[in-house]
Amino acid sequence: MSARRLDVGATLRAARKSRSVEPAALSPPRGRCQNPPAAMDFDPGDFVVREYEPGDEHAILAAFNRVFPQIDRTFEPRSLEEWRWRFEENPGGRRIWLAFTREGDVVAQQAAMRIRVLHHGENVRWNHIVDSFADPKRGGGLKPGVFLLAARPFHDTYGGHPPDKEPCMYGFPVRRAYRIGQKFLYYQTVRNQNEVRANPARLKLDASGAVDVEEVRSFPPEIDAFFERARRPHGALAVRDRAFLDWRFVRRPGVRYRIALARKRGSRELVGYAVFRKATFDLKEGGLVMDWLLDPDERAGGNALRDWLASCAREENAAQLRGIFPEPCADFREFQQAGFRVHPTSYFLSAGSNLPGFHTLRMYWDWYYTLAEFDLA
Amino acid sequence: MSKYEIRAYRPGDEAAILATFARAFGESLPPGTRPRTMADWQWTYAANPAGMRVWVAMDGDVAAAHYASQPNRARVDGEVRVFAQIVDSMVHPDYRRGLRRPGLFIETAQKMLAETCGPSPDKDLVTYGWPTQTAWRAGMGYLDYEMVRRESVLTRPPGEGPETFPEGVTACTAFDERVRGLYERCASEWKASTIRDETYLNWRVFAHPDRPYRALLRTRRGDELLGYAVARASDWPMPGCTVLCDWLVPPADVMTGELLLEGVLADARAAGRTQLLALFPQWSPWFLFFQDRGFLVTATDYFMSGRNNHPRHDMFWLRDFWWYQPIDLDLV
Repeated sequence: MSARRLDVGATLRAARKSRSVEPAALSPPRGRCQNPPAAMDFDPGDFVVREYEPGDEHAILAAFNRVFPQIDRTFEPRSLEEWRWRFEENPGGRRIWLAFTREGDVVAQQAAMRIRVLHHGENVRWNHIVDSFADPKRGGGLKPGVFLLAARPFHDTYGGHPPDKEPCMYGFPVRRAYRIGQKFLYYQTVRNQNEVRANPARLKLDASGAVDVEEVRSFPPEIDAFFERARRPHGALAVRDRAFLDWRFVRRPGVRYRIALARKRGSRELVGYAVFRKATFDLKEGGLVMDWLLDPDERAGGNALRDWLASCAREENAAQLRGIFPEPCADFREFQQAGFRVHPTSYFLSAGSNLPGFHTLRMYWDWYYTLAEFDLA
Repeated sequence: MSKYEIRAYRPGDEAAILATFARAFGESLPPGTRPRTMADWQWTYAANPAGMRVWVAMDGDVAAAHYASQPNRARVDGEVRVFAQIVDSMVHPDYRRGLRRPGLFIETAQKMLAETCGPSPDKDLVTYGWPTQTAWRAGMGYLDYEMVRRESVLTRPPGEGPETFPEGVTACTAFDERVRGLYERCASEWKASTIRDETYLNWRVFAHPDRPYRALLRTRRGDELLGYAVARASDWPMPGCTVLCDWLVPPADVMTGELLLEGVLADARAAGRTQLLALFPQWSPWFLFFQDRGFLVTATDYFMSGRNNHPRHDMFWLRDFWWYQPIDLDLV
C-alpha cells in the first residue's frame, strides 16, 4: 500500500482559509488550538510531505543524528538497530510522517511508537510521540512552521476513533514543543511528573511474606495471565503481555535491563515483577524502576521486589533508586510507606487528541504507567 | 449584540447576585464551597483589602451570569502586582445553554478579564483558581485557562502525642506588623507570592464570618516572630480533617518548623481530628520536610489553573516560582 502524501500548499491554504471559522464553532475541550500561522518564513512548495515508506529510515537517521546534537548535549547517535527496534519490532506498530526537501533530505519528522493500551476494557492503541524534530537550518527547530509540516498531517491522519486510529497521543514534551502542540495539536497537561526516590542503602523494608524473588533473563509464558489479574485496578494501562515486555526489556539492542519475578512460595504463582536499569533520567544517573506491576491481592510481594531493586542499585553503585508512578495508584503510596520520598522532576506529562470532548482530567486517575511506556531509559 | 447589560458590579447588585447563587448551586454546591450569605458576600468582595472584581450580566433585575475574582496583592519579581482568584463563576439556570458554544458565562468572563487583566502594573497579572471540571473545560476553550499543576496534598493522621503546644508556640487572635518582617525573610526565596501583611491576614484569617481558623505563632522572647501556621478543622476535602491553610517559616529555620508542626498536630489531636492535610509546591523544602515527618503525598481531584497576562509569567514560570498555600484559595 502506498503511503499517504500531502499537497502541502493546498493543505496550508485550506488551513489558512479555516482561520476564518468563528471560534464559537470550536468545541471547548479542544483548547485553544489554532491553525498554522499565516506568515511563514519558508515556501511550503519546497517540501514533499508524506508518510514513512520503507527505506526512509536512512534519511531519517541522517537527519536525526544531524539535528539532535545541536539541541541536546547528552545526545548519542541513533543506530539503525535501535531505530528498527523502536519502529519495526514494536508489537504496537509505528506512525511516522516526514517532510523532505526536493533533494530528499528529511527536514521534519513527527513519529510515534504505538503502544497497545487497555482502556476501560477496550483494546486501543495510543501514540507515544518520540523523536519529533525540525531541522533548525531549514527554518525549523521548534518554530511552528516546518515542525507542523509533518506534525499536522500526522495528527490529522492518525488521530481519531479506534480501531483504525489512535484516540490519544502522549509524551513528555519539552516546554517549547508543548507550546506548539497546545496551540496547534490539542495538547493538554495530564500532570507535572513527580518521581519516588530513595537511597537504597537506607531502605528499611517490611517483611515480604511467603514470596520469593528470582532474577530472570526473559518473561515467562504465564506473564499474560498475570497481567489479566494485575490490570484490574487500572482504568488504562499499556498491555504488559509477553510480546510487549520482551520487546521492551529483552530485545532492545545494546541495553541490559534486569528483570525479577515475585512468586508465591509453594504454589509458585506469579504475584509481581519489576525491571531495573541503571541509567540517566532527568539528567541524573540512578537506579531506575523501569517497570513494576503487582497483583492487587498480593501487595506484600512488593516488599520483596523493592528489596531486589535496592540490591540491584547497591550492586551497581547507584546512589538513588528512582521511579515514576501516577499518584492515584496504590504503588505510589506503598513506595512512600517503604521509605521513598516524592520529588518533582522537570517533566510534565501531556496528552492530546483530535477527538471532540477529549480531556486529560480523567486520565490523571485512570492511567497507570511507569517508565516502561516512555522512551526515556 | 448581547441583550444583556454586562458590566462591573454596582452597589445594590448583591441581592440579585445572591439570588442567582442560590438558584445556580441550590443544593448541589461544589465540594468546598458554601452557601453565600450577605455577610459572606460582604467579606468576600466588599471587605477585601485588595479590591473588588465582580462582573454581572443583568437581565433587568436578574443577575443572569456572574464572573468574579478575589484579588490579592502579590510580590512578583520584586514588584507589587495583583494575582486574582476566580470565584463564584455561575450562570442562572434559566439562562444556560450548555457549553457547545460560548454563552453568556463566557461573554461575561471575557469582558471582565479584558477590563481587569493585562501586563501593565495597574492590571491583574495572573488569574487563578481550582476550577470545577465544567468551568475548566469552558475556561480552557475560551478564556485561555491553563493547568499550572495537579495538586497532591500531604496527609497523615495526628497519631498519638501531646495535645498541648510545645514551649514557644502560642495561639493568636490577630496579626501585627511583625508579620511583615517574617514575610520578607521568606519571600526572598520566592519569585511570586501573595504579600502576607497584617492587613491581608487579619481580613483573610480573622474577619471571616463563619470560618474559625487557628493561628499559631512561634516567637523568640515573646517578641520576634519566627514563624506562623494557620489551620482549620474542616470536613473538606476529607471528613474529620484539619487543613494547614498557611505556613510561613523561613526554610532554614527547621526548629521553628518542627515546633509549629508539633503545635498543629497537638491542636488536631485535641480536637479529635483524624487527618492533617498540607499543601506545598513540590520545589519547596517543606514538601520534603513534611514527608520526612510521616506525611504521604496523596492525589486529589484538584488542579491549579491559571491565566497569565504577561508572557514571562506563563504556567511553567508559575509552576517553578509561585509560592501559594490553601489560604490563597477560598475553599478552606
